[in-house]
Amino acid sequence: MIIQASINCSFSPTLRGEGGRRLEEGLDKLLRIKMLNSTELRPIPARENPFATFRTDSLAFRFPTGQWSENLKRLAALRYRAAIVGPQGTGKTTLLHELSLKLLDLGFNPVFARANVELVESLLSNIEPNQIILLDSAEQLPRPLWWKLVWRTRGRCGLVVTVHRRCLLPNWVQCNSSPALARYLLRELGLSDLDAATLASAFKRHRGNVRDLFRSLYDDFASGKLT
Amino acid sequence: MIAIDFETKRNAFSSGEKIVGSVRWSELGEPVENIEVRLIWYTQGKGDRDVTIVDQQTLPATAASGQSEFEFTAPVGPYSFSGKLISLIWAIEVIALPRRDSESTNIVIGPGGKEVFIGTSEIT
Repeated sequence: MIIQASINCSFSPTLRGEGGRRLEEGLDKLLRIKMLNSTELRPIPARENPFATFRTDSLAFRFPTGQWSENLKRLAALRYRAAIVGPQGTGKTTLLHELSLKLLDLGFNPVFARANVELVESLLSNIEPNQIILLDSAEQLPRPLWWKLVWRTRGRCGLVVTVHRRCLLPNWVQCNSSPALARYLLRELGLSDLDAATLASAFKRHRGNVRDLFRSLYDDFASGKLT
Repeated sequence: MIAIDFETKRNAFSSGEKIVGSVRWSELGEPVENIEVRLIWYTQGKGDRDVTIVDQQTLPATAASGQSEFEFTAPVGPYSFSGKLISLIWAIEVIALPRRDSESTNIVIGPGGKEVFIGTSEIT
């Protein structure tokens, strides 16, 4: 007898990043967050944790102003040479990843790289036409190499970087976080009802670093403190 | 649309057991050249995700709609398991080429066809 499998995983694990990724079925329903005391702790398995990395990684970047079309126009006006600026855990790397896919769609040749001396030297020795270098955490490069990168790529290819502070490149997007943004992202994860005071307190404790806030909430769910 | 069906009444298997099923595809917009069926495991939880393709079969396909059979043997390990920090999940994944439409279905591979829980005896 042939039967339909009853558990469906509605994203493609090996096609991640190619449009096949979607949230798992179980997340479609809204979860209500509740603080439990120690006698009612109910640990949950990692696969059901609403803050599992594959779920938080699937959250789309939210621009402070405008949508993708307006922001891409601004980037084009900057000749694809600009910086995404903001503190840790405010979505800079997420935006850089999303930009990579948008640039591919536009026919560019984006190259995503983390700040690594050998990698950057290699990119500099082999600049290709239509290439746009997307460099994460640019301030981790030694300063002479950073200057060299900006200078050598000028007029030859695009360069979009993430940094914590203003740099040699003009700002494209200034990333910031807020309790309101954290609440919005929680709703995107299918979570509601974490009271405003608890969220504001957690947000403050993690100094606005949403990535750290989510990791902490993962632990609270894993240990059963939140359900 | 792609659908994965199993020949058994369950989607949980013990090591060494045959995983036999079929793939049906339709309305994919253009003729399909190949259907790739993969037996994979991946991790979910806190931290980076791992994905491993353990076995795969390429099924011949020449039309936008059709059906084909697949068969794998459930490997010795790793078992499907869940702890607080990580879950290891087995799945059958199907990819229709060249468009790369895809579908996947989670399965369990473990002792007695059951997922192993680590450090979370309260989980049911």
